[in-house]
Amino acid sequence: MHILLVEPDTVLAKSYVLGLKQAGFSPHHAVSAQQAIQYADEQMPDVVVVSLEMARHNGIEFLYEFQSYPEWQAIPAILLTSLPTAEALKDDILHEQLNVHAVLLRSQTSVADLTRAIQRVMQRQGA
Amino acid sequence: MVTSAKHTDPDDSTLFVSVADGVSRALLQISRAAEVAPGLKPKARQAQLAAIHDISQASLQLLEGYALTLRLQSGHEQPELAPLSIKSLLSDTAQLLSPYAAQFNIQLELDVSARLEPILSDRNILQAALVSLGQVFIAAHSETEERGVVRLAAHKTRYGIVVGLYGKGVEMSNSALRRARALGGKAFQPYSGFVSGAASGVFVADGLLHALPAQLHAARYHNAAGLAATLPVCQQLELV
Repeated sequence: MHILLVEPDTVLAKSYVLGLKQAGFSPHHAVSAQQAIQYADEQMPDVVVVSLEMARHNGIEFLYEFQSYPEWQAIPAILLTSLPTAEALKDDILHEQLNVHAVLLRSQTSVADLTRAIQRVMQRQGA
Repeated sequence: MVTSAKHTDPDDSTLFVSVADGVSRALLQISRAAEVAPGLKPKARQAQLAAIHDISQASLQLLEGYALTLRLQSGHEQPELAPLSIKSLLSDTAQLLSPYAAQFNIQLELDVSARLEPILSDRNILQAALVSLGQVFIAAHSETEERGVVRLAAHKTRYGIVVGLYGKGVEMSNSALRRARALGGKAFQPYSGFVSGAASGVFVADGLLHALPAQLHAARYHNAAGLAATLPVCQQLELV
């Protein structure tokens, strides 16, 4: 199961990658939107976990770009954010237009929580 | 060259909010690293423990810089200006920043000529400012595709000795710095063209440099963009 993790924080990403590997996933870390698109081109991910907060292009911008490619439109996404106000993002539009299945607040989401969220998304997808 | 923009006001609660955001990010890194460490093989577990240590140290440095800013602002501490070897200062600063840089897979390079004249400054304040600024540069450069090298450098200009941090892959400008200062502690990503986080180290450095007095400004050196402060050459020793 290939997980594409788009996370600008290298130190945080290292822990997510280690945790996801422990859970049996094959995670790949991209530090930016550009790197993530390049990786997805080489290896189609099963789930994309993307940080809302990134320098230059944010997570929403990345997802609009990502979803503009027909072959990637069915790939579910999980949004990670540090903004408590991101409650507002739990909007249908995220799900309908960007295929976002969960918005997770970083401070309240352990690596184990993220793993469970990915598993739930995969179950919903019938994988 | 030197921007006329207002520096970050340390008395403003926005600086506190910015530092809190920066420390929160570090605590998150530590918490997640600690969560996965027990399940790792010994070598990987050791690396996670080293990450926890290095990130904690960096957070302590940021908090110490912030506390020093407040003490200077309130008048409880005064800058003690003295002739200072810039090479020695930057070597020590690089040593403090190196473990943090390693955690972000960033190579920290020191670029300073041994023949630079001494400057007149306060060693503790200037070092705290460079460490705070260095942390932001390291994090910012790890977020670019061209991640690799951050340079801690000093060179002489007709205005004095320019001391700062530089790197490739990000653009720096005085107008972006001004915007960031206006948003620091108010927006979650005040310097979004540079780094994804709170950029608190920039604002702590700003406050510390103001006490010297000096000012942070955008700079270019050896085809790299950076943030730097221009400090006066120690005229007394120049004559010796």
